[in-house]
Amino acid sequence: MTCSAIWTVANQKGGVGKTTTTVTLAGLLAKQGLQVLLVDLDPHASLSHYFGLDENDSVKGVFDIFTCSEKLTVDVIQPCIYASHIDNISVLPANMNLATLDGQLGQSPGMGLALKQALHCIKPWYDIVLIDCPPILGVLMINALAASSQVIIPVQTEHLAIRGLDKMMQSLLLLEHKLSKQFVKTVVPTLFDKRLRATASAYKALHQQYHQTLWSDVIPIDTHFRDASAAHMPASHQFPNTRGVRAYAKLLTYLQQHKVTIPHVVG
Amino acid sequence: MLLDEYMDTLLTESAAHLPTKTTLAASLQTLLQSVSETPTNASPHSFSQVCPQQSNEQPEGVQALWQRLPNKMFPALLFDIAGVSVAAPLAELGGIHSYVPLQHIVGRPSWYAGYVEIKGQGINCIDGAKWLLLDTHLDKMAGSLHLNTTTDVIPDISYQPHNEYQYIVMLHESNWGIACHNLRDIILIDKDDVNWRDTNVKRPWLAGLIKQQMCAMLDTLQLTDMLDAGLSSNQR
Ligand SMILES: Nc1ncnc2c1ncn2[C@@H]1O[C@H](COP(=O)(O)OP(=O)(O)OP(=O)(O)O)[C@@H](O)[C@H]1O
Ligand SMILES: [Mg+2]
Repeated sequence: MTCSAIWTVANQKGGVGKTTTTVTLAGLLAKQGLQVLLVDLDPHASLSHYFGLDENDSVKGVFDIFTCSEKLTVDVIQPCIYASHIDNISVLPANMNLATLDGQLGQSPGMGLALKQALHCIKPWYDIVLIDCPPILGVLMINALAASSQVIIPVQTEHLAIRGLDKMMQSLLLLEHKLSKQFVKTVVPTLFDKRLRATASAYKALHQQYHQTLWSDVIPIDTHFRDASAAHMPASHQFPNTRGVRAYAKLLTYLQQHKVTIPHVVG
Repeated sequence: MLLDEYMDTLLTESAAHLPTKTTLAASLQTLLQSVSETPTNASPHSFSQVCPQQSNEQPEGVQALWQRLPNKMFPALLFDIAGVSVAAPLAELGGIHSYVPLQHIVGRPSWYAGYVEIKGQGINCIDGAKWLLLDTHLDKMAGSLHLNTTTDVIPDISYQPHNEYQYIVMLHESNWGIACHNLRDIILIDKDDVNWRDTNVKRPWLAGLIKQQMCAMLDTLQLTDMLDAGLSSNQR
């Protein structure tokens, strides 16, 4: 329990499956017995919603960390983290106030490193941290990326979405340069509908442009994800044996075996 | 380039969390009156022990306790957890500490009592009573320990034991320790006096039962394997 991996799930495009990817991977990691911390950076708090933490603004969370005027310590951060109803998953929730950060603090020096500092304090307690981003390149996404070593980029298998991917990849390049580090990047085709011809040709285009970072499989369209979200449960727990979950399990194996080192739990 | 400058400012290492932010944060706080003051320390969801899909893999290469013990007679420590007497071979214990206040960590299973550093060693402490009693009905528990519900002292589930723990018994060389209420004795045990269990079935951490002392024999290696995997006493 000493070193933890930090993964960010990001794309500047909305509705591509970022939150679904974050929650499902977290569920699968938790089932492996790993201690998972989920960080919700989206003001819409759809990740927090999964865990019933979006009901009111009085819930402490990421916002309190960004606006904390003291030095960030374990004592400041711990009250912002909640045990979830899923074994091995804890949540650092978001709320609507986060949307104001870009306007208010978005330009202040050093603001992009607040989350990194916060996670540094609590890293020893978790085997892995997963961060869900809003679909905007702003102070929140920059915080996530500055803290992470790996980036998972869900892309809807559709031509328009792929065009948007260029923007995201450029932002990542620029950040890599600024941070003097290289992300392990994995592009994940999502919402794959094999019945549509457009999907196949979009996948082809994706493969041509991004074959180096592209995961070789796809996440299929599966209505169970919507049902799981309605039930406030990770699909990995609600519908463990569905096509969609199996595809995420494959993705996780890939991320764990080929790309990243997740420490296996040691006492 | 605008984005370039923007990133430069945000990622200024030296400026991170400097006092300049204090005023910004303060003014933001006043701007956002909706931010309530409630410090919610308590988690809104109680941590439930429902984990239906745990892996069933047995740890490889761990021999059963009776096979690991080289001699027919072996010394064991007897200690009490919430009225249940528990034994573990001395050879597989890493030491005993006096119980000290622990740092609670959110998100851990209920059997995880907390973390503490003693003499530079980081210790993950198990709440002994919760581990033994977790999801186990009293009668079943008594049954598996061969206790007689009417005459023997049996643990009371409503009892809050952690205030009265006295010792942390360390499990082999791991950094796991189990909190207990009392150290009873060190005794010499004959392998033949133990009802060894088949550890491939449920509760691999329970190696067997010592008939004479009416006490549960721990398999510390199996136990720490389960703890490392985040499992609970009734899982696997
Ligand atoms: N593989 C899938 N099959 C079917 N539906 C899916 C799949 N993945 C996600 N969805 C559904 O698509 C919608 C958008 O997904 P999700 O919220 O994960 O995207 P997002 O990128 O996080 O969106 P936002 O940018 O708004 O945060 C949700 O209703 C979700 O349940
Ligand atoms: Mg989302």
